[in-house]
Amino acid sequence: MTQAQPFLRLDAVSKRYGGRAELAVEGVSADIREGEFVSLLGPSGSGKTTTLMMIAGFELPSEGRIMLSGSDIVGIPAHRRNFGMVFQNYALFPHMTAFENVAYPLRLRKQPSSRIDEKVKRYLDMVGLARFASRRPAELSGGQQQRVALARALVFEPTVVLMDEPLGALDKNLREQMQIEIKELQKKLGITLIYVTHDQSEAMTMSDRIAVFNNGRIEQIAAPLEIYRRPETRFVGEFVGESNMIEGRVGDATERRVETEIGEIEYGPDSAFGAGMPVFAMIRPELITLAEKLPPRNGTQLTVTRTIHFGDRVSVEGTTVGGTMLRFRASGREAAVCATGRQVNVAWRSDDVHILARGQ
Amino acid sequence: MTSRLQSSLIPKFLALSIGGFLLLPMLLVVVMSFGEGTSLRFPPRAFTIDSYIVYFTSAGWMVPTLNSFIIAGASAAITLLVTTPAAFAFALFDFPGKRLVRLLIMMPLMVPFIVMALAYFFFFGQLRLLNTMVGVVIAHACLAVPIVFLIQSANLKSFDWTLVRASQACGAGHFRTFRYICLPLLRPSFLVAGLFAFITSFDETVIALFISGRAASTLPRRMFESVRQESDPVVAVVSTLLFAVVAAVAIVIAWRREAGRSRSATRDLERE
Ligand SMILES: Nc1ncnc2c1ncn2[C@@H]1O[C@H](COP(=O)(O)OP(=O)(O)OP(=O)(O)O)[C@@H](O)[C@H]1O
Ligand SMILES: [Mg+2]
Repeated sequence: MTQAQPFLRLDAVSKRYGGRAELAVEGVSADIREGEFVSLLGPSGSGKTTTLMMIAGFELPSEGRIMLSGSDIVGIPAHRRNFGMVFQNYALFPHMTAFENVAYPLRLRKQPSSRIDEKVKRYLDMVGLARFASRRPAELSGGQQQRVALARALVFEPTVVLMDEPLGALDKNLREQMQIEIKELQKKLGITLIYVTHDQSEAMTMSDRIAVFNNGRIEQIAAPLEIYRRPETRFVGEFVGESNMIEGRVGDATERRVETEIGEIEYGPDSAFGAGMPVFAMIRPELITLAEKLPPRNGTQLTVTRTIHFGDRVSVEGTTVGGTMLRFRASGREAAVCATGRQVNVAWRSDDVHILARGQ
Repeated sequence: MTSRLQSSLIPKFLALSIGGFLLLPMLLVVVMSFGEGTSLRFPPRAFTIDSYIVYFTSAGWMVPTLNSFIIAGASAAITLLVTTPAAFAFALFDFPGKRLVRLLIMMPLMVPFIVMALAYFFFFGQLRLLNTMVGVVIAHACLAVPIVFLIQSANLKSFDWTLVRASQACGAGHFRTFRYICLPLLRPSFLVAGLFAFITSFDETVIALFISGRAASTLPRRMFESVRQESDPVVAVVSTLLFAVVAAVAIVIAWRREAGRSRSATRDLERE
């Protein structure tokens, strides 16, 4: 899916709000392909909304360019960008019915009323609200309101659709159901979608790519599994999923070994680090398993300090003789072996060890 | 048991006596308005509607009444035209000197009426605006601006501004967003603000006494003169009518609140 020209390009975009010393967004660059689902994921205050608002045209970047199909759109006001938008609090017009809300963008575009009728009905049907067309927002549940907002953002076939935590106000079951619906609509209609969330599982299940934000910067932008398996920074590794970060230095680079407090750790073939470089060896808890006896490498002995039982599986924390804490998963059947205070041997595969740079 | 009875009776008694205390003088006026004779007296000897006929047929009363409506309407319109954009600017933007401008807008609220009346008297004398409706309209608008600005600011504070962004994302520029989203949603509170401006002017006497003169005499001024010079029972008629209008407006507003908003903005949009 390579294109000569990226569809939507953020080029070193920065934002400083008036009168503030620090940057809310700092040098964000990203290329977004047509039809792609990109999530902006990050903790509160990391600049996700600000970035989205600059793409939407509601905030002006202090620096940098935003390009759509090769031309700069920074000077184009929001209402001329033809971008659809879904807000966390739905932002439906309270004085209009569901039908009128969805019809509004089409009426503004002066489409003939027969066509408006047909399109609004089709889109309300698509979000499962055909029966509620004549209700006002106040007469709809939160989930129904958000579906109307969805239909309103899609009905005029926008170039790009932007969503800012659209499911943040819904309960867990409804959220998961809507995640699936949004993803299916996006695929079916081939929508380019930029989706802000701070829920990592939401980003993992829905996105083609995730941009992980921290302190106003993108730390990494990649496919969900890539982010999960090969995070480029400690922040990404710890923010997305659980992880064990073991400090060390690259020993023998050709043998791919890291010297750490718990001994030498071998790592997978895909990392390029020179000898002596300070690194983290990252191992996901579910990739560490209980072992009968201590392996010569890629394993250690732990004293169990805490177990959390989830029924089907157990999350176990233990410390090595040197005091390094490791977390791993065991099956429900193995729970007895991992009781607090017991000594256990654990092992992992060298391919499951990911190495990432560590600042001094 | 007794104490519970007492605790439910006392507030009722208080409410009734306060209501009675406030309403009783008003009721006296209503009764007097139907009294016979050429001067005010209580209790009336006989009941007629003569004074009502006098009020509705004499130019001496009808002209000031009309003047008051024109002046109040014009000054309410000017007040809304000034305060609405100002309130929007204050709600939406930060600009240098914002506090100073706010202070200037609120200024008329801090100056005693009589001081303002004197100031207008001399100032308008030089501008040749004394004894003209335009003069009274300007003075009354200045008086209403701070109050209505406060009301409009409060209205905008409770407005959900993400609706504006939602409308822009739908493709509406500033004008159409104002026309189809802000205006229909804010119309009821704008009307209340306008009503306040109207009443502020309609009710104002001190400044009107100083600057309205014979030519632009307002209803309160005419009433004041009437009481002072002739103790004419028509004053009671005017008071009764005003009281009736205010009560009717209050009832209509309460009733409309109950019925809820039924207008729809997209229907306006469709018509175009
Ligand atoms: N209108 C504003 N004026 C000044 N500072 C702002 C404004 N909006 C956001 N900020 C600041 O910019 C930074 C980034 O905010 P932003 O809203 O983009 O974060 P976010 O990632 O969307 O967070 P959240 O997950 O809480 O929504 C924060 O430090 C915030 O305080
Ligand atoms: Mg946000």
